This record gives sequence, C-alpha cells and structure tokens, in this order.
Amino acid sequence: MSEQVFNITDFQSIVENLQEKVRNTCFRYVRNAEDADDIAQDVFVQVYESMSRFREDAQLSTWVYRIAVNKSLDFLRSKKRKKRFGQLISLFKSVGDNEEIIEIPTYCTPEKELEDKERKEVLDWAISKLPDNQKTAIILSKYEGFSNKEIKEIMNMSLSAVEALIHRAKKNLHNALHDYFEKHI
Amino acid sequence: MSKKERIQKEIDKTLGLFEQHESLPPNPYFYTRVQQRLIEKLRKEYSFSTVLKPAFFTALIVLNLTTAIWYTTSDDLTNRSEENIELTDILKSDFNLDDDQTESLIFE
Repeated sequence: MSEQVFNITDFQSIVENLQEKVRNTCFRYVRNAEDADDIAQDVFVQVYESMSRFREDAQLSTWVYRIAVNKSLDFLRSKKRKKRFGQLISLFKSVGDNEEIIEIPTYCTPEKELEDKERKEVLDWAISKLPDNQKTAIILSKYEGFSNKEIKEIMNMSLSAVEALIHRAKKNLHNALHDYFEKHI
Repeated sequence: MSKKERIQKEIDKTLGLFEQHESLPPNPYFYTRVQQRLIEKLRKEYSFSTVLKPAFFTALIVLNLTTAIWYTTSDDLTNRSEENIELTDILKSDFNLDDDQTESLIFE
C-alpha cells in the first residue's frame, strides 16, 4: 500500500481488522491487559507513521504482527532492566524494606490438583524462561494459531529455522516443567 | 502411580492449556485511543517545528551576534590596555616610580 493510496479510512479498517489479534499477541507476552492495550496502541501508531516504508511484497498483517512482537519483547526487556535496577536499589535498603520478588509461582499441596489459574501461572513462568525467539515461535504457534509459514514471515527467517525453534521451545518447556514439578510434587 | 508418571501427567495437563484460548475482551475504545495518541504525537511534533525550532534558531542567531559583538569589543579593550601599559611605563621611568606607586597609578 503506497503513501498516496493510504488514508485514514484505510488505517481505521487496519486497526479494526487486526486489533484483536495484536492485543492478544501482546497479552501473551506481558500477561497484563492494560500493558497489552498500551503496547498494541503503540503498534498502530508506528504502523501509521511507517506506512510509507511498508514493502508491498510483504503481507500487511504479517508486518503489523512483527511490530507487535518486537514491541512486546522491548517491553519485557525494559521491565527486566527496571526489575534489576529495583533489586540493586533494594540491596541498599534495610531488610525490612525489601519487597519479596516472586520468581516461581507457588504450588498447592500435592494431594490437591492444580487449579487452571495456578497451572497457567506455571506455564507462563516456563514460557518466560525461554529465549526470546523460542518464546515468539511458541506463542505465535500455540496461542495465536499461526501456521509455520506465517511465523516464518513474521520472524523473518526460514521455515526450517522456525520448525527448529518450535521444537527446541517445546523441549525446553518440557524440561522446565519437569524440573518444576519434580521439586513441587 | 509413580512420581515419574505423576510429573508427566502434570506436564501434559499444563501444556494442554495451550489449547484453551484465553482472549482479551474487546475494547470498544481502542481505535479512539490510538487516534488520541496520534493526535498527541502530531501536536508535539507540530509544537517543535512551529515554536521550538524558530525559537532555537533565533537563540542561535542572538548567540552568534553576541559573540561577534563581544569579540570586537574585547579586541578594543586589549588595544586600550596595551596603550595603558605603554603610558604607565613612560610615567614610571619619567617620575622614577616604584612598583607600588605604579600599581596605584593604574588603579586610579
């Protein structure tokens, strides 16, 4: 879509058509509805601003999802930096001032089955431990239902690389969950 | 059931959650918020290009002019002080003044 053809009506239809998937993709990363909405709004602002640079040979939705993935990862990185800084600050505070930073979700008694909410927390924790590219591949594949071909376009890599990433992500998830349940059962 | 089997069961159940699609509820104000952000961003860019940019260039020109004026004036001052030193030397030798007297002469 060229700059001349692109207008505000086009933009509105782009937002309306893609907002749901963009918001949900962002949500898979940040696990907070407000943050996800905030990032998704940023995504569309960037789409509006960069429309002239969009290559017609790529699919518009793929390009928008790529922006969403990058922005979500940027958000997580900046959150991690802030957390590290917070931990550094807490070193200089007295012990009583320290806020507990929960890394691993709590698990209920072995006799009781995990509720879905708790289990989701465990899965989110395991996903959060994955490297960024594996995390993106598994989120797009498993949560958002993108095909490997679509993921290849979004992540700008070969099909075999995407398949390998998903395979490694599943293996790493399995290992992380195994370690977790071994400690908690 | 052995511990290994229980662990495998828990892992399968947890990974099975991928199939349960948890989606955000629709946000009817989403497009309006995107519009607001765009307007806010454009307003900031506009204020920079229409107010801050001319103000910055005006300040730059004023600074340039001030520097030029100061440079010319300070050149005059240097010349004058050189003339003063020459005059003080002449007076010092003519009236046989010592350093203290010469200094007081300069200040007066």
